[in-house]
Amino acid sequence: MSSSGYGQKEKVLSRIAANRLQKELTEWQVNPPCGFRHRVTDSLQRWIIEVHGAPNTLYEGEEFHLQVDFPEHYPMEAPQVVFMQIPPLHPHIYSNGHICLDILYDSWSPAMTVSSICISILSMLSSSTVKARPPDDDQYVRNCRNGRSPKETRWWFHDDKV
Amino acid sequence: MTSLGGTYWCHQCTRTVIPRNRDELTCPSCNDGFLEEIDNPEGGESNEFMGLGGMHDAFGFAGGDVDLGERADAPGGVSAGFRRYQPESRGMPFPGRSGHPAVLQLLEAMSAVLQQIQPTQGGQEPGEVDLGGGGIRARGQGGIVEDGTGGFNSMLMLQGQMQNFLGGGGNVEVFFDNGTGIPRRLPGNFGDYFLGPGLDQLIQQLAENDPNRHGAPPASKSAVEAMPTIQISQEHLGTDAAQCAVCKDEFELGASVRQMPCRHMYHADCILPWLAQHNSCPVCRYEMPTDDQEYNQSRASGQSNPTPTASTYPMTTNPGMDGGGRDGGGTSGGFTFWGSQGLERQPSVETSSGGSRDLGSSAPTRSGSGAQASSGSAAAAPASGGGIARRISLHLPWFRAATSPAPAPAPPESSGTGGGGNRNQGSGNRNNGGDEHMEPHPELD
Repeated sequence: MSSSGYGQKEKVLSRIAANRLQKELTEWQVNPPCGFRHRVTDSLQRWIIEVHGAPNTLYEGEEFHLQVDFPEHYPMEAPQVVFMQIPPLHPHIYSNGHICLDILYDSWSPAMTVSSICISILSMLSSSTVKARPPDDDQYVRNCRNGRSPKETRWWFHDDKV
Repeated sequence: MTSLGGTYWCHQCTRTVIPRNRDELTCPSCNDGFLEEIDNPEGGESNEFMGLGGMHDAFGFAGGDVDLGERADAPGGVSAGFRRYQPESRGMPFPGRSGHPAVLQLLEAMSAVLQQIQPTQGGQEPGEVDLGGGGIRARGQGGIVEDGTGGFNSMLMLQGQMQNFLGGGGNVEVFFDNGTGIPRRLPGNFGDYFLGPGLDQLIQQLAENDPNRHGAPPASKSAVEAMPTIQISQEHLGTDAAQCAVCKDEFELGASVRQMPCRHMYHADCILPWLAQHNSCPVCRYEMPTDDQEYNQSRASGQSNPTPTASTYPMTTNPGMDGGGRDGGGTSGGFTFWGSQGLERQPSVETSSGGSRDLGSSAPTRSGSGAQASSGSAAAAPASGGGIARRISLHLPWFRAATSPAPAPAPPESSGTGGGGNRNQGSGNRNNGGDEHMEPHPELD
C-alpha cells in the first residue's frame, strides 16, 4: 500500500543532499514545526513524520503520518511526500495517500524544506471545510495500482482555497 | 501488425532502420525494439479499421457522454484511458494556479468529435499510433485475453487526430485488431494489457530520466552567465541574505556568490544546477529568461490572461478541451494510456503551434463554459483540421513478453529520450518532450 516502496529505485543521497538533510534534521530538532513530530529512524533518506490535526479544524485530535522520501539530488528535486494509511479525508488527498499540492511537484523550489512542506500540508488540512475524498479518488487510485509514485502523476492544480 | 517492410526510426541508434524480421520488429543493429515507423506507404491497410462505423463500434459510444473510467468496468466497454494533455503546465510556477480535469472532458469532446465527423469521414487526416506490433497479450485479472484465433495477434491502434489536439480539441481512439481487420473491443480491463516488467521499466524510465519534467524550463545560458559574481561583505552578514537558501549554509565573509537579477544570492554550485533545470529563483520565483520560445510566448500571453482564480470543476464540464485552442495555444498533443501502468506515449508531433502555452490560468477563467466548450471545440476541430497527419507505430516486444516465460527485454536506455525525444532537439522543441511524460492525473476538486 501507499506507505511502502512505490517501486522507486533507491539511490543513495548525494553528498550535497545528505549535507542538506542533516542540516534540516538538526534544525528540525531545535525548532520543529508546530503540530509535527519526526519519528526517529536510522534513515536520513526516508522520514516518517507524525501530523497532528490543528485545534479548531476538522482534523483536530486526529493523527496522521507522512512518509517523505528524498531523491538522490535533493533539493534540486522535490521529495516524495505521501500520507501513510490512513490518510486524512480531504478533497486534495487521495485514499492511497497521494497529495495534490503543487509545491510537491511543479512548484517545488530548492529553498523549500521538509519543515516548510509540513506547514503547507497542515495549512491545506486546516483550511478544509469538508471531509471528503477527491471526486476522482477511485479512478485515480485505480490507476496508481502497482505503487506508482505521485511524482509521476501529472497534476492539475486549480484550487488555492484549500 | 502492419506496415511490414516499412522504414522505422530506431530510438536507440537514432537512425532509420529496416527491421530484419517482420514478426519481431527490432532494430537490426541494436536489436532494440523501440522503433517508430516513419513511413508507411501502405496506410490504407490500417485505415480500414478506422472506418467511422468501426470507431463507434469499437468505442461503443453513441451518445455524447463518455466516461471511460466507469466504462472500464462495464462489460464489453473499452476500459482504456484517454486523455488529452494539458497543454502545458510548466509555466505555472506560482502556487495555487489553476488547471482542470482533463480526462473526462477529453472523452466528452471526443465523442462529440466522433459524432461531428461521422458524416465527413473523408475530411479526417488521422494520425495514428500503433502499439504492440503483433502481440499484445494480457495477463492479470485471471487471465489471458480471449482471442478468437487463439493467438491474439492483436494490435492496438491509436488514432489521434493531431489537428484536434493541436487545435485544442482532441481525441484518441483505441482499437484492437485481431488480424481480421475488424476492430474489436477490448475484453477485460484495458489496463491489464500493459502489465509486464519491461513496460514497468519503460515507464519508469520515461518518468525518471527526466528531472525537468515538472516546472519551468531552464534558464537561458546567457542569462545565467550574465549573473554577477559578488563577494560577500560585512553588510551582507547578519541579514536574510547571509544564507544560501539552497544549501542552507551561511555565507562566509569574502565568499564569492552568484547574484540573480532579483538580487538573491547563492553559491554557484547551488544555483547553477537549479537554473540548468528551471528558470526561477528558488526564493522568490523570479523568472530568468529562457531559450524556450514557446514558453516565453505563453508567458507573455499568459500575463494578459486574467489571474487564475480558484475554481471548481464539476466532473461533467469540459473546460479541458478549450484549454489549448482558445488560448491560441496550439500545443503539443499527447496520447496517454493509463491503464494500471499508466503507459503513455506522446509521439513526436510536429506542432505547428501558434504558440501559446497554456499557463493553466486559461482554463479556470473559462470554467463556466464547460458544456459549450466541449461541443464548440469539438465541432471546430475537425473543420479546421487541415493539418497534420501522422502515424507512428511503436512496436514494443515486451508486450508480447508479458505472457511469455522469457523475461521481458529491458527497455532501451534511450527510451527516455525516445519518449522525450523532441526535447533533445533543442529547447525550442522542448515542450513536446515536456508534455509527453507526465501522467495522468488531473486533480479534481
